[in-house]
Amino acid sequence: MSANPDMISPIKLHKELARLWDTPPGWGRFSAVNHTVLGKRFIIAAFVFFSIGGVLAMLIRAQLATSGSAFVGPEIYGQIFTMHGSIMMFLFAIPMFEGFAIYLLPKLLGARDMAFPRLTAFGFWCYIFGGSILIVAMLAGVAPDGGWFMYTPLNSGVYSPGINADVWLLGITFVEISALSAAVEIIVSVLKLRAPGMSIDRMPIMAWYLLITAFMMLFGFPPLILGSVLLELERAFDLPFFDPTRGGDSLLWQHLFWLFGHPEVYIIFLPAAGAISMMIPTFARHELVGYRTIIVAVIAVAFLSFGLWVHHMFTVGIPHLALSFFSAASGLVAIPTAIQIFAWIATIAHGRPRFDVPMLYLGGFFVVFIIGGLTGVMLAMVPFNFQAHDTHFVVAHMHYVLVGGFVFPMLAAAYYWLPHFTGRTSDHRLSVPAFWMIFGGFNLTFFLMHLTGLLGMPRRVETYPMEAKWDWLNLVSSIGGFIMAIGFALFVLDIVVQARFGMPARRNPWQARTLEWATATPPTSYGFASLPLIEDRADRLDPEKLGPALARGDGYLGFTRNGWMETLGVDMVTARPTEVVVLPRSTFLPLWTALAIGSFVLCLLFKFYWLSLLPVAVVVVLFLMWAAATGNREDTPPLDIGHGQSAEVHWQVERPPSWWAMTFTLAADGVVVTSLIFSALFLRVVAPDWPPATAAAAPTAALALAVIASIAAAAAGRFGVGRLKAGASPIAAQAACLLLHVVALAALAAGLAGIDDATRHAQAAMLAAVLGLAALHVAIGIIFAGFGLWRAANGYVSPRRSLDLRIGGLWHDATAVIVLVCVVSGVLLALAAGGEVW
Amino acid sequence: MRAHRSIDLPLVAAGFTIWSIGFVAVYGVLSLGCAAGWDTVPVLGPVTLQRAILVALSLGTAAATAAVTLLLARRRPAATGQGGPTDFLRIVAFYTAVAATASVLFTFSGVAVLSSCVP
Amino acid sequence: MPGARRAAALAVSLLFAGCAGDHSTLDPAGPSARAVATLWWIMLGGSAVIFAATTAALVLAWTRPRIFGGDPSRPLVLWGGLILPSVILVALVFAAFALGERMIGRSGSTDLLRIEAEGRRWQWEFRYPGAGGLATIDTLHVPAGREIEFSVTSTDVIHSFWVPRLGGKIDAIPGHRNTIRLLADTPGRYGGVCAEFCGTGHTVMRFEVIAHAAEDYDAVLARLAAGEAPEEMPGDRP
Repeated sequence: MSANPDMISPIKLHKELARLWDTPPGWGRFSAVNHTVLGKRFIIAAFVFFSIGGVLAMLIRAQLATSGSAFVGPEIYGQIFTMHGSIMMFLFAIPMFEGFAIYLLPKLLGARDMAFPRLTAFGFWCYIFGGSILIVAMLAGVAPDGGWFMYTPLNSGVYSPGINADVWLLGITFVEISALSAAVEIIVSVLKLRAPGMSIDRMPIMAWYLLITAFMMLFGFPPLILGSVLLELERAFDLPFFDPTRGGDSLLWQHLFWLFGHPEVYIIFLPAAGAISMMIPTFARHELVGYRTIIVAVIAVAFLSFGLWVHHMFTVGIPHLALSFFSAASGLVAIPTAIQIFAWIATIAHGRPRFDVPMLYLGGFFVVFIIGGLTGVMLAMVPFNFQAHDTHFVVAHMHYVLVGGFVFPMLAAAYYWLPHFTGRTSDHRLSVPAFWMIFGGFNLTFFLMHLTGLLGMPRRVETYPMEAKWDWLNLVSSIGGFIMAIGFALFVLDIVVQARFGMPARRNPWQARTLEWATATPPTSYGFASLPLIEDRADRLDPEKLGPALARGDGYLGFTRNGWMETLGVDMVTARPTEVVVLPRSTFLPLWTALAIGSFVLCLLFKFYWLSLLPVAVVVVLFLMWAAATGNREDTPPLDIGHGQSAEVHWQVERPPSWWAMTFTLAADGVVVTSLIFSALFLRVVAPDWPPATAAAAPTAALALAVIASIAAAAAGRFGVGRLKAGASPIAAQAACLLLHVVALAALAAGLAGIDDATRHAQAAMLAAVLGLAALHVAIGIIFAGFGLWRAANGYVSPRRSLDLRIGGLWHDATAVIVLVCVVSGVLLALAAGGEVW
Repeated sequence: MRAHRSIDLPLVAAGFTIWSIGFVAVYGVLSLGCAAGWDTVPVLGPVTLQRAILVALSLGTAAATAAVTLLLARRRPAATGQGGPTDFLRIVAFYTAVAATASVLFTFSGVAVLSSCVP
Repeated sequence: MPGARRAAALAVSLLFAGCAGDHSTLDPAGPSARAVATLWWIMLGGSAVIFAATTAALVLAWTRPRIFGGDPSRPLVLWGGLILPSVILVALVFAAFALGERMIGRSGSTDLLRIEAEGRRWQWEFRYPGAGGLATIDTLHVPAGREIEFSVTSTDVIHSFWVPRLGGKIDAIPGHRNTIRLLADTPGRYGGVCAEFCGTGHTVMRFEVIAHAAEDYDAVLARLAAGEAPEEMPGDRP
């Protein structure tokens, strides 16, 4: 690498960068947007929730230890097992992996931060507030109690009139916002924010795993969010989407839930598999075998996992042929998983393996996860599933998969990356006994539980008769559970002791060959004082040499200018530097926005529906402030990036990270729309009581006007961008765009007003939902158009600075398509139900 | 290093995207057919309308993934050495499509025989 | 070692004692449950072999990597990861298809007896078409040796109808009518449960299946319809 011509001393460079990047002290900590800070906060918060979920698990085991137990009654027990499942899935597993990803990803990729630091912070606060709502509800004794998959009608208003189910639907959806924003951010960061030269075939394998996982989240979470919104609409406003007495269907919920729920398992496992693929090469002292094969396998898993969801529903009365598709796909997913496992074994066989604590925990992973995989294949077989479904066999299987596939790898990862977090070495005095207690306790709890299930013990019973002869099995499970709990306590103690009193470590204590070990340990807020040029695959690097060189400022961007926090954006495939990405400074905006959304959620929870419009308005204003905080009134000349190269600033290029973020957000949005339309079709085909006695009608004239107006709005938006690029003013076109959106909104409102009673039948409710979703898009289109107008009027745009209008343009285009699709579906829905169309 | 085209990156998902579309189509049509009673409409001997449509859709999906696999095989670089990111993506796309074709055949393997509607 | 053998024998007998419970799928009393139990034992044996082989591969890779030859990825990834699992999976899935078709596909039997099962919070009501509007609560009377098709539904939330010793479960879903075919080989009493969580009474939503000798069955139903206790209860026999 060539030296920076304006070379300054590493200390001075550090001070300049730290001044820009460091999170302010005191109350300023709440304004943190830095990935290292927030990654750690995510991990710690997720572990706190894990501990709460663990305590609940202990209560479950205390209750079930003996037959006829009267420790807690069924009301409390329902809350305990529902909260245990919900916490572990939504408040522990997903946020824990997000935390690891946020902390590690920029360092693995050679960037200074994630692509959207404020979004990281926003996701963190949404997670904390949503999780807190659930925990507070539990402490108040009104936790959700209908099972973590919230089947209807048990969780509908008739059978769960209390606030409990609302807590789940609103709290978890709040947390999902954080998962979706993390997904978008991870995708864009991996694709755009890599070190120059780290072409897509050189990415560290973890980046591939996280990229694919994030895409799965993008497509997997929207069905759940849609389902939760529909169920909350049913509970709050009596729209009968899931009510079998009015044309709804409880199976619709199951489809939407498991369409999320099964990919979720792989969303949890794949990042852990990525961590395994990082650790094993280090301890085998050999690069990962089958890098390309693993990528093919992971892509296969990602897709196949979306074709398994009905294996949670084998006993709901679906034809055998339909079951066979899901059964085959469920079995099939074992093959790419086996390929990964054997690639890891082959890596060990190729290398000169060295033992250390992380490998011990990975040994636990192998044993536990393979057993979970094997029982998974068993459960995929329809005849066996008919017996084992909803028994403790499934409980055992699920824990083998999730604890084996996530918790053990994460424990290994905790020991592996702890020196990176703390800059201290580990010792083994407590790690080894902690492992044996966790591993032994786990197997004692869950291995014989397979038998408990086969002996006929159903899930979710709070007690069982002595004659059932399940006593000794349950007692063994309970004893194992408490041993495991002590093991986890030892683990916590160990981590705290090592973080507090461990010996200072040198750089790269495991002799790893990936980029994250080229940062200082503990890392500085900016990660890299200068960005490396990568000339080989990113798991063949030499962090010991690279680290000091980068700290000296030998790489790209080894300086500061304009008080900007800069990192590089690259071409997705070749990693040629394309733009200088200027990142936002610490700000309280994410906190305020999450608080505003939190107030909205609380308004809904306590049924202050009119009052809830106030926080919505605040949220809109705050988001506009986010957008307004960036940008420039003048064109910026190409910027020097070091190595004698230069690049444009990101808001002056065609497709910067924010453009991609909007594109991927719209992809997730498209999944919402598609899921809703499939839901309507599903009810039409499967639900009882169709067609309705009196069908709601669709006013065709008004709806046609809405379609025409929103297509025209998109055209006006495009015309405006064209005018701007040609050097003319886009203001008139933007104003037209805004006006046309208003027309479309009015037309859709007329359509909605034409539905006289949306609570009468699911057909009317679905029609309202489809048109409402279209109207929501148009309403957001108005905000985008208005923002574009304001930016144009205030000189923020120029032929070279058209990004604001082009991002809005993406929304306008998508809205035109969505309004068209929704209107067509609405009309068909009216026709299919024999409703009038006028 | 081969010239980089932006299509190479999304193409790694091509094979399985067809698998997904086929999966949704076959499963969706199965439900529609049962609701519409296609399983009671004979078309040829013991073959019902439902069966004929489902088999045709499955074969169509298999043909589509196979065709995509062949197309990607043609784009695949001759040597699998250090070919740069474009070659890398093309190889990954090809093998993923092979996996997708195998997945289609296996996923729909029961389509000709298993009972297609609840009696 | 005799001590170890005695311990193993004890463990086996303990397990066996467990298997004999009233709800044990491993103590089948009908063809469906028996087929699934057989499938389970085959899968258990196969899984044990696969688990042992994979673990052995891992240990050998660590301790004696040369056993896999000059390029360990070929035998491991290609054979262990792709070919062997594919062969096993294809065999297993096709066997399961065949079995599943027999269990839940169309029935060839013309002698099906129909009984309606309706779940509600928190009891089961069984209705016997052709038995004078007879309905029983939480006790299900069936003839032994004859295939019965249960038509299962619910009037409130989702329940699941499950008699583990006879065969698989089927969900009772409001607005839907699901069917499942079961057969009890011999007269006797079999435990049944609600398998799908349905609220605070989920645990107590149990029922009992009484299989009567086929020749007595009509008489039993007639007595029940007349409001008398069925004279002879199979479980009461010495």
